[in-house]
Amino acid sequence: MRLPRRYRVALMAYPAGYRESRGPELAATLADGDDDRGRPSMREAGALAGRGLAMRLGAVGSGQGLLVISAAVVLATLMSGFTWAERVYLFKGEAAVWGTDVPGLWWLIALGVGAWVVLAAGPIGAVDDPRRRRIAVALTIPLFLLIMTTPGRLVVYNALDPQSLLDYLRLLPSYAFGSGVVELPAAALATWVALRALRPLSESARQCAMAVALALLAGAAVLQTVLRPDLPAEYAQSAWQDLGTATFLAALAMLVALAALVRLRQPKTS
Amino acid sequence: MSEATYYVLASLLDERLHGYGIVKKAALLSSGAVTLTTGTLYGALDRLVGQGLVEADGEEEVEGRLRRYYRISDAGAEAVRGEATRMRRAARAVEPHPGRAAIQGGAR
Repeated sequence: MRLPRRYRVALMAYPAGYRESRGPELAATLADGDDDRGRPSMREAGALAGRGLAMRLGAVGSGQGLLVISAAVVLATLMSGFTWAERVYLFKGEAAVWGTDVPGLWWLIALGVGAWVVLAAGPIGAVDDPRRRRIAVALTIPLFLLIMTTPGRLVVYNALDPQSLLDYLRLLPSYAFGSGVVELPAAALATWVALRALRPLSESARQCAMAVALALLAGAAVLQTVLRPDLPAEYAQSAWQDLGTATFLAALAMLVALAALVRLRQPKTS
Repeated sequence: MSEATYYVLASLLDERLHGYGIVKKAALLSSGAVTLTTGTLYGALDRLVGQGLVEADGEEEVEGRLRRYYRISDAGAEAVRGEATRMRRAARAVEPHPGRAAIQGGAR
């Protein structure tokens, strides 16, 4: 059934599959309403856009908590980019070798793992349908393979010495992939273990656990910044950036805790 | 249970209805306080069908418009009546009645 254009536009936020199967029915209901009102209302359009986007995020029925989690995921993505950019600074002009002698390296990796966990656990935890959750988890596998087969990472460090913001931007995709060699597998494993361990708990309890984990990470980053007596002068900026990362994480933890509180205050009765 | 969910279930208690039928019945039952948008309605319906509280019950095409009908399941009727009982109890907690004064007197 070919839908009138304005209904097609109104339903655009919904995923294609849903539009195909439910579109005609939704359009009929909209049309019935229009007959009574004389025109489609802004409120209708807003509700459709919001609902469609929520569905696209794969988190139907999570309501307000979902919004906060989405914000947290966006922040985590930004933060991930931030740690990669910082690593560019750490490795600038040095031999591109993974080593334990770079101050803050392991903490950066830990923060990166945290970012990936949030990135994965947010949407995955919010998906109600177990089948779709399995798909979400399975998506990390091809991503992991892609990363494993990207040889560019260590070479890039030496080949390009980033000088400007443009250089950073150009390098970011490589670092995004490269960081995953260590971080993403670890994060995937951590997410898998956490999902198994936390399965018996309620959604709000899971979010609380996530918030506690993030708070611990943030606390650790702050401690690492403060308790680093042998910090060479050239890494001074890195310490500030650690502090920035820690603040980011603290903010994230607060957001997730807030989401948990929202859920706790609205206990499911249906 | 959200207000929208409550009124979707309540409107289906007596009869099976299609989407816009639910919108109108919910407005009627709530004296106009609840105006369900299409997005909210189908969000609630999808969830309720998934939970087995509402079932799809046939469809027809009227003037080129697809109408799918929904009816409440036994579990759905039980859920909405349970919610009504809970709200009645909650309302009693703030309404003046003889029992309330007795409780207050006892507390002093």
